[in-house]
Amino acid sequence: MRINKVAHIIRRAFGGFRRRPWFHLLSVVTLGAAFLSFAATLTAAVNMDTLLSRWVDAAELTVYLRSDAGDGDLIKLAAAVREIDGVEGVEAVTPEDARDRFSRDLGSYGEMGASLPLTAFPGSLDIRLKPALSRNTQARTDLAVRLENVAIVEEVQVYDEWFERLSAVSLIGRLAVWGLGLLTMIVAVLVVAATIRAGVNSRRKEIEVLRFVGATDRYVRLPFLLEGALEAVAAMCLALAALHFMMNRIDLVVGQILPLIGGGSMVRLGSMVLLGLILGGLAAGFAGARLSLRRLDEAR
Amino acid sequence: MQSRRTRKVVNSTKPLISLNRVSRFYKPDKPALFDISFDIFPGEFVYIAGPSGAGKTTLMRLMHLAEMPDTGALTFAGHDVSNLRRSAVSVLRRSMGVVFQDFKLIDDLSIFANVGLPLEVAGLSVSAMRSRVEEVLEQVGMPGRGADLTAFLSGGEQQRVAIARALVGSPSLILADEPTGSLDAYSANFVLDVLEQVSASGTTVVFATHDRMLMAARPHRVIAFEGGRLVGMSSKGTETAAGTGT
Repeated sequence: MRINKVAHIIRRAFGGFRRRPWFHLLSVVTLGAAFLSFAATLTAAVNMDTLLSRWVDAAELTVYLRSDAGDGDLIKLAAAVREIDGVEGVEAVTPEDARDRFSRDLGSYGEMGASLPLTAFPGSLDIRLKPALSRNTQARTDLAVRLENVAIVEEVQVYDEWFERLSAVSLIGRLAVWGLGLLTMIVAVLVVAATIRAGVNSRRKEIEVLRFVGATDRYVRLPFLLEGALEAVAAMCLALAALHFMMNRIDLVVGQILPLIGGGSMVRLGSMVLLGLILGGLAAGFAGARLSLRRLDEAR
Repeated sequence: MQSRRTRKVVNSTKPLISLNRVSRFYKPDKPALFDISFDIFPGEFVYIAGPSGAGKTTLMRLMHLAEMPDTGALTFAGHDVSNLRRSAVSVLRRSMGVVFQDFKLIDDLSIFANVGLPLEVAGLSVSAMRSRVEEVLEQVGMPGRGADLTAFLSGGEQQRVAIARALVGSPSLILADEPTGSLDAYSANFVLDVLEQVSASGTTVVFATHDRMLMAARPHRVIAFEGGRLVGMSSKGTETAAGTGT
């Protein structure tokens, strides 16, 4: 008996789609557009976050030595720094190496660089940090202070300003995702509510007849709730399919640029995130349908 | 379904519906029904008679549990309905069939879907629904018409479908509110034939009408109303003390 009732409720919910297909298609497309904008923003934020993480992970400290320090001091200090916990690697740059790099960077004016005196290029150490240390501002500052106290060190550059800027960009991205997520949920709830309310209005007689043949409130309401939830899930699936298609296209262009700016390949939303989005759509659809059915129970 | 029908017990000592000093007010100073008391017993065919505004429809809505009395007690099959929860009211309604003057069919559904609604609500399988719906369609003279859309039927045919819907759940009570009001004589007679057959098999039929000729041609017990008050009751085939109010 209960299985039959469930089957009848499901049939009734799908009956709503069958009887007003264009109306439902229009709301699925409208909802799908809202969901797509949210999913696309989420994808962009995830990619931006990943790119920033890679930049942060690749962050270096640069230690400049005093002009009176020799190559031997440079090599000794490099060996000592390599032993510090949290240091990934150290590259010692002698004044000659520094001048060569500078000349190369000048391209056709390279000769001009090569003519500069070696005293203009202090020896330096480029230090790559392990992620745990590079993401810890305090630990990074402590290391810089420790290195500055070494007698032959002139200056230590920590690039904190850059880290702060990148972190701010990352935070803005996250806030945008949350804001847009909230807005999308509100839009979804309102669109589903409007669709279901229109369905209820067009089926008032049917609801009246159902009541007088003994349908309970739950039996009358459930098909509409299911209809709203199905509509939102269909819209979310449509949005995710469109996003997948868009990502394939974007990957062809951006995928070639990302490695040049320190990123890897483009990141797609994980399966758990996709599942979360579909469940979010389901919840929005259910809430919208529920909103539209508030006054349905008032009549006996 | 057949077994449910054969289980129906006609016990004329206990009323199926009992009203005890029932009143219903839409406006404080003008009752739609005032101080009404009567009993209707299982298997009876009863006319609720009276002119427009007499309170017939309000009474039918009370008996269908679509409204509750403001004062007094209404019992259905021994249940005091005033304290029932909504879900219990819905379940009780499944033992009633309702027929309206305007049929109340769903135009964009087939005859099968319309007639099968009470069975769907009761949770029967589609196959069980098919056989029972075909059975009642045969009873109302429309065998094999289940796939037709109700929108294309004549008034008489629509009322037959409405009666089939009222009968399909094998109810213990049928409430018919002016069911012949918009029908020609042939269709009206057919409707009465079916309802009398149903009554003869043990189902209580309450038939609201203002048509004195119909009541004279098909005599049954009459409960007459005027201005929301009960003005007379008769046993089968006799005039009420106050006439039928028409």
